Amino acid sequence: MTKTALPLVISTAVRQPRDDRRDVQSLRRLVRGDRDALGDLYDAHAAALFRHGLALTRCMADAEDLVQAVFLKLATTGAPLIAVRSPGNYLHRILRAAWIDEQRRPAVSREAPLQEDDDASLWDGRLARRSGRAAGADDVDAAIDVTRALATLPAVQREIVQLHLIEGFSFREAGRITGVSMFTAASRYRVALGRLRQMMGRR
Amino acid sequence: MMDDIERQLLDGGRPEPGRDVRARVLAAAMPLVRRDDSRLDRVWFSRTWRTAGATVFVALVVTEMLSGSPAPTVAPPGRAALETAQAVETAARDAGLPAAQASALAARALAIASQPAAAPLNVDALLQGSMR
Repeated sequence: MTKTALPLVISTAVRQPRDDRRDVQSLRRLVRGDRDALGDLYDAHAAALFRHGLALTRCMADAEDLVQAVFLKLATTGAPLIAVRSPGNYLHRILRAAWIDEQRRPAVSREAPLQEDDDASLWDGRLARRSGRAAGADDVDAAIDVTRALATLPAVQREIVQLHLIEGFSFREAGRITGVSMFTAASRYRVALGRLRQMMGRR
Repeated sequence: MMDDIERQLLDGGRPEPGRDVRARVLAAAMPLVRRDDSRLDRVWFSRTWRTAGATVFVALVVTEMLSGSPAPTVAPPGRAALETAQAVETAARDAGLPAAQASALAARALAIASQPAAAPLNVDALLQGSMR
């Protein structure tokens, strides 16, 4: 190992603690009837919520509907928001509850899951919108492959990969969001990565 | 430590909702926002207040447990009961009973006379019962 490799290890292994104070203040403003707080919360969390919804539904329109459901719920909850200590986790929990509610509705009212070609275009689109990072063509191809492979995993495995790896939630937080223990969340993540390695032909 | 799969997943881009979604979501949600910050709600949903309330409750319970219930006390016999017992003892001696038996009769009379809402003591019946 070289001296230059060490900072990379540290930066990936140690996550910065979230600073929820601003979001907590936004929630309190919302309880006081300040509508602009809703916009602040949207700007802070909508993208992550959308990606969480996308991991669950694999459909952009459904993911956007889930985001809307989250903010409708937020707007109508009222005083109980005072007790929320971790707004990020709370919003993701709302999104997951909305997704479960959607799953319980009759199947005819839901959109059919995307087919393979749609998956490819979706994930290619994800990469196409990636901003400001220069990468080699091989890197992009590999990322497309693994992201397509991720799309074939079960929803709960896609979800834990999204929450833990992409959004940076700890296993404890991801477990709370998904309603399972920290160990179950870690196990799901490990299984998901194992299956991805199998699909990519790596051990 | 991340492996290459994780690194590739991180490199996979981070999609965001469309530009019109923000306006659509906020247009739907903002009209539903209402002021809801009554003092009672703030107290009920505030963790500080809840913690303080729980602490006070626990403190009261602990204080109650440590102080314990007061020891049961026996009320001293009243003056009338003492006089009755003395009369019984005197009557028993006058009737020729031994001193020990007279004292036992007096104690029994005292116990009966000390009971709340005790029936009037029939000294003659008590003496006759002990002489049988």
